[in-house]
Amino acid sequence: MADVVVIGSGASGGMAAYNLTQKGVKVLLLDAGEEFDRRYFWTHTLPYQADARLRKGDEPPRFFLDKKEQPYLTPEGKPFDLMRVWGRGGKTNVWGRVSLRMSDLDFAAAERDGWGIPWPIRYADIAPYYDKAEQLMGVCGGTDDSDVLPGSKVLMPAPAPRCGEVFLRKACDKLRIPIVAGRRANFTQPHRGFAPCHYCGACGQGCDTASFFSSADHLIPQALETGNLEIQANAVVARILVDASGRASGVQYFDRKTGAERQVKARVVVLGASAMDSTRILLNSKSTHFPNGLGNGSDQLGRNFCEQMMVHVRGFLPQLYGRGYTNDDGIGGEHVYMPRFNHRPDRPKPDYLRGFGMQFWNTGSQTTGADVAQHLPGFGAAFKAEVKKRYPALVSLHPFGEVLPRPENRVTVDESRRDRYGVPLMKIDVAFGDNERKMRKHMYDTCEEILHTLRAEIVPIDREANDPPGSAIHEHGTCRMGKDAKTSVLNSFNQMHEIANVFVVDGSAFPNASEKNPTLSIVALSWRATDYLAEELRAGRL
Amino acid sequence: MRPIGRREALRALGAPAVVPLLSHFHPSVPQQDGGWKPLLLAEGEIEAVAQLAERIIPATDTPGARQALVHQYVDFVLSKAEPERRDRFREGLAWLDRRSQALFGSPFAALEAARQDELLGRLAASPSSEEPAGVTFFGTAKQLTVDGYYRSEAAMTQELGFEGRTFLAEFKGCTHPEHHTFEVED
Repeated sequence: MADVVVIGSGASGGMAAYNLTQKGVKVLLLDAGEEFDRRYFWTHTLPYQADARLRKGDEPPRFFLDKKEQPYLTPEGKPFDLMRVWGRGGKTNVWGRVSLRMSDLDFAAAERDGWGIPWPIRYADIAPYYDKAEQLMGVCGGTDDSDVLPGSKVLMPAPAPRCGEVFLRKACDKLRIPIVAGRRANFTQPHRGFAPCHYCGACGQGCDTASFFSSADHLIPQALETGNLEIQANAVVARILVDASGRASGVQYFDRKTGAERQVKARVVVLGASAMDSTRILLNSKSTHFPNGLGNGSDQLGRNFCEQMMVHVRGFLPQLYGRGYTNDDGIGGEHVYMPRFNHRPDRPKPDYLRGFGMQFWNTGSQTTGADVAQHLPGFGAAFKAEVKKRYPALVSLHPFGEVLPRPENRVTVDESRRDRYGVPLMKIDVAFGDNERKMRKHMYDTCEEILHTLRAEIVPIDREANDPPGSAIHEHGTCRMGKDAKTSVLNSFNQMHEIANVFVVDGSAFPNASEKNPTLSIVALSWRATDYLAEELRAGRL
Repeated sequence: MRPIGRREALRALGAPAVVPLLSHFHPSVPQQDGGWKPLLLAEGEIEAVAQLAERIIPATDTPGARQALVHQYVDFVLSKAEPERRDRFREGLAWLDRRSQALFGSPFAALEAARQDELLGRLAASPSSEEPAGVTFFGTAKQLTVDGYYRSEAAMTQELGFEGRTFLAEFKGCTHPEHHTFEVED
């Protein structure tokens, strides 16, 4: 029997397996899929080659789980776009790689504004793990340090900004809006035996040289090298099993290929299956001890879903008209980042809670040439010239705003609807509220202000538009940590209040989402939780 | 460690078959034995679409819509579209011919380019004095043309000069002194 069964191989489960095996703990990793074969990545496929390759049967790995294979339910009129990667490394194979430290503005947000519950930890608790995680993950970035985005001394050099980003920085400086070097887990130098980024910009297809952080390349192989890790592929976990004393005794899963049911024993179970699937597994783990789902005496499990809301604004910079193509691929996303600023004393007090940051991917000459032409009037040679003139001048603004946790935004399981293994389906019932809509106005206003400052031509905006819930692929809150067992599910070490030998180390543990991309924080928290777990094991308390 | 070279990386990729350059098929359209044939539209409709697309994005010092095989793309997209969308498009083509006949005495494809441009100018005007059905059709045709053209190899490489998705040892970013010294006006 393994000491610890870890469920999920992405950022959180991968880190749990990495850290525990380094400490000599025997780990069985249950992965819902298989390894993705790097030989078939489409990293360097040009847009006009893609259709022809597909028709030849030359398919890239299917990273994203087919919703038909594993459905989920949503109420009528409340769509939710859940993106899942079931396979070695999970979403870190294709993630956005933005790596931002959260700060005490985030950890103590609820203490200041009274919404939700505060985190049971503060920045000082997690800071040493941010240092370690950034070094392991090869995060690049600048020397900035603020109350929103704490500084770091361990980052690789930031890549040079593109032309459009030079102008965006000037506009923000003029408006006294902060703008800093982006922080991303792309290696701008050789890193732990891996080649540095080769700036092809196609990270979303998976990296053919493993030059950005992914659990599949940078955690799991190292864990395997210890000899302490065993991986069970195609293991779709259904439930955590509980013994007569109310302790977790093992895990029930189904073989994704054959459908056969299996059970494994465990001294300790660590869930890192991503927020929604970990929550689904816990809600389906009903027993006489836990009739509402495992460790759910508080009725908080599945509630308090939170994430970020995104909007998108695009414009063309006259300063860059007609300059011709520039290779703006870079590290496959923006090289600058706008941290939250709405809380600053020199700003008017917002009429909403929390805040937003801004990213700028797809700025400059990109693969999506057609998009440039969509709104321009006319036709003929003049039209063609207008499109070409604007092609290198595109700037794209993408604010990410914190969505408040609300008890009614929740995940449940529906006993009357079953998946292919006979396990109840999850139902996701989420809607944005007034706070998000008020913040959205400020998000659009800020984008327009930046673009007006540069005299940019703004692509027409629908100010009522935002991406639907789930689009950020940053799900949180449904298994939150907290000091009080009556209002939270986990303690400050991601351990269940009600059942000592179960830990949940993925994004579901966040009491609030903040405006920041979460993966760096997930890795740091999983590292911290499994340090504690290993010590508890060693001391014989688990 | 030195940066990986393109050749080396292609080897690492298992050297996938290289897609032939500038084939006789639009890159989004399935290859057919014996050359391209329309999947949905009639020969006359294809010619009208090819001419219409060429007026929207004409050949200049770089290829236009016809050379980029946009008519193949339009035919392919419509062949997979909902029946109502197909019908609307074909009715739009018929409208274009009727209007060409009424104004200039010939169907659209038989008009000189200058006459074609004159009619499209009426449709593209804002506000347009032409019938809404015609204006809507022109919008659809323009959207399809833009989509098909700018995703083609001819447009991406020759018109836009795209050279990305490649291996660079270094990313220099903005190297224009005038951008770095630019001052935002009040």
